[in-house]
This record gives sequence, C-alpha cells and structure tokens, in this order.
Amino acid sequence: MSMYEGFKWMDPWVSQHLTGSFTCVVTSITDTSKIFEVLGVEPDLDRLHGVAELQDGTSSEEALVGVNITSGSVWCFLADVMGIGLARVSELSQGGMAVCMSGNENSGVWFTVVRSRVILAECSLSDGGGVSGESPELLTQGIHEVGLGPSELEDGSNHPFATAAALVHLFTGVAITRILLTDTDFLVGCVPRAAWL
Amino acid sequence: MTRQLASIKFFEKAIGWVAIIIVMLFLISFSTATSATPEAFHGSFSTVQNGQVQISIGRAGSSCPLYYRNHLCYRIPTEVVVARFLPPAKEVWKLDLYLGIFLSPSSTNIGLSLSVSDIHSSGSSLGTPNLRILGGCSTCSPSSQVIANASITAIAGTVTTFVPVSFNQVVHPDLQLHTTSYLSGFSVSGSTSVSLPMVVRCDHLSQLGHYPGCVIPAFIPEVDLSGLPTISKNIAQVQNRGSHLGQPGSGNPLYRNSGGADKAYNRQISCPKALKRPTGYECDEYPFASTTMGGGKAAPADRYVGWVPAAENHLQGGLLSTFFSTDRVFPAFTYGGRGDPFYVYV
Repeated sequence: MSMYEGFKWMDPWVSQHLTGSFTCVVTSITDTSKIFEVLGVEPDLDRLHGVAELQDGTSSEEALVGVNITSGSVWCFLADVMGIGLARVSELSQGGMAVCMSGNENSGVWFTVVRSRVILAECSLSDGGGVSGESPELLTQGIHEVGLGPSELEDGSNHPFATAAALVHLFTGVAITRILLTDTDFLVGCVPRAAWL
Repeated sequence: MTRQLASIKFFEKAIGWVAIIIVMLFLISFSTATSATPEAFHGSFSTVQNGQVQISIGRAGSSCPLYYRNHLCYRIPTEVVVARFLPPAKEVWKLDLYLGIFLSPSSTNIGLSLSVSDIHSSGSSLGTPNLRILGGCSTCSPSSQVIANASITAIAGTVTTFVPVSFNQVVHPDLQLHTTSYLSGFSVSGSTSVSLPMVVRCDHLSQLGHYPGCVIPAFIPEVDLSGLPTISKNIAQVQNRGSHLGQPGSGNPLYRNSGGADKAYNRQISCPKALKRPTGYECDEYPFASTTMGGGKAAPADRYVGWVPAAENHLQGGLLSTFFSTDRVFPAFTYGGRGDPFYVYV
C-alpha cells in the first residue's frame, strides 16, 4: 500500500467531523511557549481532547488552536479549523521548517512547505494549477514518493486531504492518524479575531 | 325568611365560585424585520367544568425584543377571569407571560423559561389565582414537565428538555405549553394549551459537524466577514450594487447549495484550474461557490471574481465553515437544490 492509500480515510472524516475545515502545521519549533508566542496568545490552562473540541470552541470571534507535542520531540503538531496555521506558517518556520495543510468550505485544500520564512513549495491540491515557491521540485518529486502522479498537482486531487497528509508524512515523518485527531490532548490557545491576520 | 337567607348563604358557600377563565392571546410578530416570522401558536381551549363559561382566543400584543438563531422569546398576553355567580362578582387579571426558548448549536437540549410582567387586576377582589404551566414535546425527554406553578403574580421558572436526534436525522419538536389556572381550595379551573410545531429544528447532519444541535430556522443568520480586509472590500462593492445580494436587510439572502459536486462545479466555472495563480494568492468569488448563486449564476452586477491573499481566503473559508456549523445552516439535500438562507456582513 502506498503512503497515500493509508490516508484515504481523511477526506470523508474531515467532511463529517469538521465541516470540511481543517488546518494543521507540523513545525520544527518544539518549545510550546515559543509557539504560543508566535501565535500571540497565552495558552489556556485547560486541555482539549480531539480536534472536534477545537471546532466546538471556535466561533466567528475567536479561534482555538491546539498544540500537541506527544508525537515526538523533533516536531510539534498544531491544529485548528479556522486556517490560523496557514496564516502563521511563515512565522512557525523560524529557524527551521514548517509544513502546512489547510482546507475548508471556500478555499480548497492547500499544501505549503516553508523553511526559515521562505516558501519552498506550495500548491492547491484541490484545484491544481501546479507548484510555486523556491523549490517546486520538492513537490514534483515528492508526489511520486507518496504513490501519486503529477496530475494531482496540475489538475487537482480527488482526495486532497489524503494527498496533503501523505506529503506531510513524507516531509516530516509525522503521520496524521485518527487517534491523533480524536483521542489526543491538545494544549490550547485562543486567538482573537483581531489577531487572525 | 330566616330559613331562606340561611339557604342562600349555604348555596353561596357550596357553589359560589364557579368559573375561572383563562384567555391567552398569542403573539405572532417579531422585532427582526429581515427575517420571516416563525410558525405561529395554535391555541386549543377547554371550557370550565360546568360548561357555563365561553372562552375565546385572539391575537394581540407587541413583540418580544429577542429573536435570534438560537434564542426566541414569545410574549403571551394572558387574561384570567375569576367569576362568582352568587352574589355576582368578577375579577379580571391581565398579564404578559414571556416564554423564552434557548437552544444550543452543539446539543439538543432546549431550555424553556417563563416569567411574568405588567400584571394588574380589575373588578371585585375575589382572590389571587394560581397558574400551573407545563412544557415539553411529544418526543422530548421528559415529554412534559412543570415549568412553573405559583401565584399569578409571581409565576416564573426554567426547565430543560432533551430532544433525541439520531445521526443524519432532522427533528422538528412539537413544543407545547399547557396552562391551568386555579384558585386554592376550589376544584373549578380553566386551562388552555398551545403548540409550536415548526418553530425549532434539531438535527445531527454529518455536514454540520461533530455534534447535534437546534436552531430557530426562520431566523436568517449572518456570517461576519468584516475583519478580512481584501475580501470584505470586494464583497461590499458587490453588495452595494445590483440587487444587494446577500446584504443584511436586503431581503435577498444567499442560499447554501448541496456542497460537494455543486461547490466544485461552481468553483470550476468561476475559477477554472487553467487560470495562472499569482504566488500567495487564490481565486475568490462572490457569491460563494457553496451557494446556489455561485458559479456565475448571479447577474453580472451581483457577482465578483478576483485574486485574494491565500491566507485571507482560508480564514474566510474557516469562518464560513464555522458559521455553517454553529448556526446549523442546512445544505441543500439534492444537486442544484437550495439549502438555508443567510446574509453576509462586511
């Protein structure tokens, strides 16, 4: 089974549990206080269980961002349903690397690789249109390694979240599993609307 | 003569109190002009036990100030008449009952609260009647419970009832209110019941997120995109021309489509994949691809397509997804169909 095949559950899962809206960033910043500083928020004392609770606590006025460090000491996993991760992916790559997948009701699914605030590669996996960035070959080669062809990048994928998750796994080694999304505690920061952009 | 007087006094004591009438006048107009009015009350009335009293129903009153997607208030002008036949006397109590309905986007608990205001009586002083008010619905758990049981001057209470909803099921709970008026120590009473069959909608649709919830579907909600600098400016330009499509107060809302293929089709029409995308930008359209008027179906003056910063576009999508979930904006159930209406505030 290809790397991509292992993530095909994700598109229907995001649609069913998160109204089709999910953003995650895997960052090389592992100091959670530094991450919350980048987000410009104080972490809440309470933790939330699963990303569905992130959605439940997100409104038009404030967005919850969950941070999980249990997946390994090399990477930190951030999740939200508003797209905050994509808006901050450049800052989250400071001194290292950040990989983001983001999709929702309106925008389609986007995949971005950033190193030290420089976008190496990005593409819309739902709409296609090719790869942009400083090193587009990262994706044109990577798409083969996860078991897919270049048409996924040019024409768009039928399972864009699965494709993005496979690429996240390829670039970071972090596998986004159902357990990670449903049965994991997240440190939580509440980002007010005024700080989204 | 003495025997006759004694007989009359005995008669007064035995059957002097014969009637309590409760007349409830139901409010059906609401303060929010931009939205349709929820289904009105339908009253059914019983007469007092001896059948000697006629009871009528009417409509009157000004609106409650509260009317939102998850909160509705009914003002119920109420009249209770206490009558004595021998010697003839009557006392009329007039009051406003306020019924509040509180809903949650992430549970199917329904809160019902009652309070009273603007109470006054006229006529003979015959004693203060009590009200006993039960609320619930046939499928609720519990189906009926006492919200309040107290003197008419101090009637108040709150209860919570639960509406069981299965996955991918939609339920319109037939909310009911049953009111009995009585005088302590007397068996005669008046009662009335009202129902709100289509006022509340509960669902556990998979397209609306992880949790079930309930809303007032007749209230047309607004999504607030005012914080998105580029996108809000673009939408404002469209809303300020043509038919003001989607503008709050225009009476011309957007309607959610069925998503999936509908949305993808609209995106492909408005933002073809062949378009060369500037780095960091995405194609954005208004009306949204997730609406029936997306994909170029709106008149030229009512639509817009352009490049917007990708991060801003994703925030817009996140706001829309969150809004659809928290306000439980139904998608259309068939391709090309029409779901719930909504407005866009920018």
